[in-house]
Amino acid sequence: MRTADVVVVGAGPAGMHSALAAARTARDVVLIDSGPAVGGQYYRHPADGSSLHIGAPIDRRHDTLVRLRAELEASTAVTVLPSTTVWHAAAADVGAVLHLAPVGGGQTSSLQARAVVLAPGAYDLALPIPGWTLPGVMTAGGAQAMLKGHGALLGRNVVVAGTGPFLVSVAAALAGAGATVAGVFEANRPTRWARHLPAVAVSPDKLLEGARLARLLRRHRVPVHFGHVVTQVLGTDAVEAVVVERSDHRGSNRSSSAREIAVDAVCLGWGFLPQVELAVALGCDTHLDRSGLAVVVRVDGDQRTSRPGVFAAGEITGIGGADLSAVEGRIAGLAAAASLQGTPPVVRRVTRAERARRRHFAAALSDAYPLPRDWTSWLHSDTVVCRCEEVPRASIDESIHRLGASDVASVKSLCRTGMGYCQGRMCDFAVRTIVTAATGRPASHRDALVYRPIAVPISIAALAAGDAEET
Amino acid sequence: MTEPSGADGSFTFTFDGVPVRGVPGQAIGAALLVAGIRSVRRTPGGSERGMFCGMGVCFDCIVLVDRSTVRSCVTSASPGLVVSRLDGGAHADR
Repeated sequence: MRTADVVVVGAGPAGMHSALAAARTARDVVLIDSGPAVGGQYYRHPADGSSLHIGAPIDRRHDTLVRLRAELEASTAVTVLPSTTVWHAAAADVGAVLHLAPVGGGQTSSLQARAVVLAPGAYDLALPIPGWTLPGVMTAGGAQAMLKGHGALLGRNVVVAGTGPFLVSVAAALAGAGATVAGVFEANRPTRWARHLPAVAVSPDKLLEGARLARLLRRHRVPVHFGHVVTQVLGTDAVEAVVVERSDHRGSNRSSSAREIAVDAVCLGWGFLPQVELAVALGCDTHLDRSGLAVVVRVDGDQRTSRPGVFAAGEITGIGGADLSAVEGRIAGLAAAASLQGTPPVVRRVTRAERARRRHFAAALSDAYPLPRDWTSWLHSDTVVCRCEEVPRASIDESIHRLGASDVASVKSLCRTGMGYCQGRMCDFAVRTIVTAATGRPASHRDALVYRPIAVPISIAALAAGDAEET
Repeated sequence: MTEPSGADGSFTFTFDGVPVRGVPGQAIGAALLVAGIRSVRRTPGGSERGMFCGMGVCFDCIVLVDRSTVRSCVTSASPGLVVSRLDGGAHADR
């Protein structure tokens, strides 16, 4: 089996910075990503010179990617493994054994890491609503990925709804690429920021970015409606309209305010959930994040998890965005490399201070953009909650109220929620919310369906074929 | 909608026999979107589905390529690729 000093899983902002920081002292650093090139979701881009670039570039982040990519290419210590999935990780005394499979099928292999940095990033938190399975409904991150990475607009006449500053970013990108954005429907109100002015004051770059996006939306005449939610998507075989309602300051919506807007596509964004499967497989301690929504990995000041030789950086330690991910990545990379010598990392005070400042801002963001408190009331009894197994709300209610299920695992075994292809990634949060609301038990990270032995579904054929011969 | 190979390296593949234009590096699902095709399969329960998460997590946009199901949002289109819809029933063996 191949051995490496430091293996970094995920080549987004956290992973790229980790690999570069580790390569300062470690001689053999491997950076793995399931995408065809480094960058992750944040720096998603078509290949250079590709005709897939559409719309005006909306930010300067591409310059940063070009610089990071050049540094990675110039490093003699870093090997990048693109289009590679880590489908399982097994704990070792120190570090881990990672099981790899090429994306799109092929020969599996294993890699022994003396130290590993987990930086797998996050995916969109999706809330089920009536009609959310119709073609034309996409997560905000998905719509952005299709546009930025593949030159495809999800529709011509679009609404963007949910909560958080990412909505504005997606709406600006869609409008810039030629879509008509009929409106951004932000569940929360900007007044929620009033309590967090100190966090904003120390992150002026965020304020400027927000102002720039607001200007872009104005230029494209995209209206932003605060305190509004999309509670239903209408259509037969694809999106035809959405139902929009006003919500009050506590996040309860008023059905009397409901109105329909004709659109052909909808972007829904409610925040992000980190990909914690590999960390869980390695036995790293987890906990629920500040918002109570996401299971995240516990790390110490040097980004160490509870397992020796296993470090974590970026969204997996708590949703915080690209800048926080980058600084956590730098610290994790330094710490992973130093751990090979059994020494603590030498991290500059300004770096630790930057991490503290970014975390402060992330906490303010989390508080300013909560989920609407009664979103489960938007579900009808026939609303599909588990997309894969097509399980409606009524079956979940029946499992709880008639069959006596009192936790997510029992609901799963009774009505198949979370048993399909995505292994609960799309419905786990919704099912957890419904179960905890019905039983009155407080939510615990132990309820989440993240305890999967296989991090990414791979084919039985690939498993049966076994690893490549030693070379 | 279909054009011969263009200066941008574009090519043609088929979706249920219908020619669709693709660009190198473009996911099957994205090429279908550009061609105005948003529904890529019908579920065993009979509902139409398209791309949802757009990054390989939800598996809603699976299509058949060479008798295997692949996620159309993360699988690149290529010249002459034969892609078909899953239509209800049990999924093909992966």
